[in-house]
Amino acid sequence: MLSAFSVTVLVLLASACGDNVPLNMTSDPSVASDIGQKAVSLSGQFAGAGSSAQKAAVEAWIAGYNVYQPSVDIAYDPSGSGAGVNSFLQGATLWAGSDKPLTDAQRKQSTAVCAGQEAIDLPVYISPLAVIYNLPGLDTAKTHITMTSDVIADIFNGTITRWNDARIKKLNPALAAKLPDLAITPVWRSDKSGTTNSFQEYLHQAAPAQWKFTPQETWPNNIGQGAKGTAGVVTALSQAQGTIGYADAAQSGSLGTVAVSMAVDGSKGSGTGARESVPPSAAKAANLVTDALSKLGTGNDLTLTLNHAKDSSSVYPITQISYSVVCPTYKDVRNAHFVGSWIEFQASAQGQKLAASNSGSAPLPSALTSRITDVAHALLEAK
Amino acid sequence: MTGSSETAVRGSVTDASAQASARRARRANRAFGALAKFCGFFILALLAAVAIFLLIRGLPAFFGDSASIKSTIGAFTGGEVDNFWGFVSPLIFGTALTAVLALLLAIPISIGIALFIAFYCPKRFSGLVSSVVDLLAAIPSVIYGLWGGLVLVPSVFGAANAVSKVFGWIPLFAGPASNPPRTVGTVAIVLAVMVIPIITSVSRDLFKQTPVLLQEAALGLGATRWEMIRLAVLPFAKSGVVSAAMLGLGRALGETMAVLMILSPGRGFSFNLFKASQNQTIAANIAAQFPEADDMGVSVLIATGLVLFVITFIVNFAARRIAARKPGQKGKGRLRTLLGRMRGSAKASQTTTADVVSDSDISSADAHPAIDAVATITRSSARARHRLDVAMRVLIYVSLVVAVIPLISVLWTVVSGGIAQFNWYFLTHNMKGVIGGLYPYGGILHAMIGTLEITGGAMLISIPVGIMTSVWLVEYAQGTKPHAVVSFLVDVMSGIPSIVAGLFAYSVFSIFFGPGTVNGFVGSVALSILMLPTVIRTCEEMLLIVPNDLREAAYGLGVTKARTIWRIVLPTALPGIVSGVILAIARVIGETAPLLIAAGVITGTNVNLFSGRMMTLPVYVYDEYSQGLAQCSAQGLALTPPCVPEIRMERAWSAALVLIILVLILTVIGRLITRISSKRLGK
Repeated sequence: MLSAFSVTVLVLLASACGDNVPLNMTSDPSVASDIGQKAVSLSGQFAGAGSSAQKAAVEAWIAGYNVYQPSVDIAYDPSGSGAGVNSFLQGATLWAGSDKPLTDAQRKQSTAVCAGQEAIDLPVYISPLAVIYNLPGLDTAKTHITMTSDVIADIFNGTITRWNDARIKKLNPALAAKLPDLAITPVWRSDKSGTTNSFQEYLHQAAPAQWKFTPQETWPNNIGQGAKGTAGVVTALSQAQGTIGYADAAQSGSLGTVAVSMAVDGSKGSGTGARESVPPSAAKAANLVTDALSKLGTGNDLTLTLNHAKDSSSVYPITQISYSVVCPTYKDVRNAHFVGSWIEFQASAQGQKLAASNSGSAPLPSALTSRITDVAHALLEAK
Repeated sequence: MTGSSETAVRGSVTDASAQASARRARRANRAFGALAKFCGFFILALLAAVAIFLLIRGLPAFFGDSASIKSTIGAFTGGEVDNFWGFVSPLIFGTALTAVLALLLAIPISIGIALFIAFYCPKRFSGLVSSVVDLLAAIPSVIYGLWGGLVLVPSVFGAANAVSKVFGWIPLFAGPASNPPRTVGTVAIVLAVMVIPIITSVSRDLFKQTPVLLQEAALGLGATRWEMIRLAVLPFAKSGVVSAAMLGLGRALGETMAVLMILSPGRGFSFNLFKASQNQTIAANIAAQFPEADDMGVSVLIATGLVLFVITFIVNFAARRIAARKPGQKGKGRLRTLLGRMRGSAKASQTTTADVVSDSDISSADAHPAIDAVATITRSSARARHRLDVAMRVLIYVSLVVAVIPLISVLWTVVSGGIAQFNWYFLTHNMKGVIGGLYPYGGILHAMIGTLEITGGAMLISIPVGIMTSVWLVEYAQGTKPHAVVSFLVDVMSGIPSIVAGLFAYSVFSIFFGPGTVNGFVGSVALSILMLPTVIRTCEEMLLIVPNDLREAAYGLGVTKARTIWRIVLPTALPGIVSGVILAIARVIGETAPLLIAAGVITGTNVNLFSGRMMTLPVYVYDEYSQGLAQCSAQGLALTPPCVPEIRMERAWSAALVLIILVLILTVIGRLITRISSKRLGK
């Protein structure tokens, strides 16, 4: 009886799948043209899986991409970088979203699904991470508390335990009177996450004396509280005063964000030692990525090594990058064409603009876009 | 009831006596018996498959490349430990601690509510209160998780802080209390709320089945209502309540989502209820680490799943031994014994009060007969007895209120949060083409279809197998060794944590249909493993209640066994079976953790159960919650309709509301079936 009921419902519903008609994303003709140049008409269902950090961006990319390729049906399962790379290596998905580059073992394994070649990492998503806090008596939307990387690390390793600590006061003379005598509760991600890894990379490089843990995706200590996912961290912060955590800058909402104290360029040489407080910034996050491009080799693989320790007010050091892991060749030409046009769209100015407005990501430096476009075009020309 | 059954017997006897069909009936009889036996052994095979798979997949964590094991476990624990047992032992502790705390809170409250429904509630309302409890049993764990994390956590800090200030000298309550209180204490409250409806609904049915004769005998001899309950009802229902508590423990031990969404985890062995980051459970740890785990990481996590499996095995084994120590006689036999004792000792009441009070088990063969107790107590101070009766009545009413407060809060939160996006568009669209907080806001069509299909698939697997297994257990294998083994294994199965069932289904399909096979049917298989024990257990209980007279009458008239079961036993037990099946559906329809692994996440509509990822309502709720705020530009906020930053949370609550409504509809259908079938029996 129950199954008869559900069958009836299914028959009724199957006729209309309920897809939404999204807003027209292509009203700007100038961005449309840089996509259309390699126009091939594609159709079919294609699946990817991986990074949940990328989800909001991928969501926007799919909607934007479908304007050009309306008969392509893309499914992205934001099951996590590890699961995404695993299913990519098993050939179950065509590309993976991953917050970390492939390991050597994974590269070797990838030849099985990449027609003999090794899979490559393409950085397509740059996101500034914010150190966020919840404190009473501060207009958090307008006020940034300034901290040095050492102070941030000392808070998260449990050395600085109260908000009115002298070191915090000294960095924030204007707020000194307002900083309460309140315990600091650090909040970290309790799940394995690329965000945790990136944040620790930053702590480890910028404050090596304070952060001795080897950066990894699991939070290494029990100071304060852990929460599942970015949403969990933000929820925990909003539930109690005195909390401090890290999350994508776009998720900070009404919580306060910490500005990192960075050296003003040229001030070291001139001996002034002037420092500037740098709040989370997409543009300055992109600058950190641009800075890493000089070390990039000439191959197809675009794995980046960010220098989080760079002490310059032109960059925002707490920055995360996330990759699209793809094959440089596919056994099936259809798949090659799809992946080519898909990553071309991801890296395009329009794709990056869509991602920025939907996820708060930073735009790719144009040098990086052209490198990715080269890979994309090679795939699109596959025969 | 007796009259109707006699009619049924007479009817089928006329059928069966037809000479021509006798041979066919014999063949059908044998086939039916064989099928039932097959189902019984299928359970054995299934459980073996789960255990074997977990073992195979988890073995690398023990015997694999030791450098890889060390680095993987080191990565899990921030370098604190590098061996499996060092990794898993705090998890075992945390799992046991949260589950036991939850049970300690839940059992007295559940028994109180069940007693209220059975003996204190006006008859008119008992159906209503029962329905409410049935519905609450079906509130999905992901909704309890949302409620616990977003509503309960911010509201219990005051109480936790006060308790830790006053009773801080007890290590359990030592301060300072963490804020936000995402602690073991808060988790235990939520788990208790989740477990209460399960224990209550089973206990209630058991209490209602207490022979009326016993109750009236006790009351007739002057027992107060509480004394009647203590002497006639509780001993009668004791083993059943223990098994209900085991069901509850199974759920608490394996609960993933609520713990994951509330508890701030730690790797300690602390008993401190009000401090965060002290303990973590095995199930929540698997869910937290699995998505990002590499191959060795998956092995390690599955090995911890195996440990959880072994723990539930031990717990069930112990519970069985406890229940077996004083074997209770079932049904009529028990009633007769009890009545005989009452009659025999009605005048000779010389046992001391202390003795009686200390021993509530009236079913043990040698100890104090019930009537002694009643008579002795009758002689004690009438006022004291009245006071106790009133006190127990108050406690029972209070237990109902205590349970109803969080339940009303859950429903209110879901309804008030879900109403914003609850509209026709939401119900008739999926999430394809939805971008951030921009209009169109999307909907849950794909998730509703997925939930119906995946749950339907699980029902198609588990209901026939489950009913036939219970038929085999009760009608064919009673008292045999295979019965004991299968019956025991069904208990073990009820302790399989949902996330382990998900891992099992995922891996089986990976092996047989290629790596990374994720589709709706994988989810169905995972859910059917979770449904089966509930279906079998409740069916078994119901079949056992069917009076033996009915069977004997049918056999005496030459009706075959299969026909007797099919035409008399099963129809008699049908209403109970239906309510058992509904409980089982309720158990799985809100399962999130296994479906995250087995059926995946997708934005579009997929009607094919056997291919491609499939969204379900609980996964949708969790997925929307997990994404947090949507990014809205000033431009977007100025649009009409505008970009809504909180849109994901609104969608999560609305989907939760639909999930609850869906469960309500299922419950109503189930009740209708019960009513129709009992009317049919009455003719």
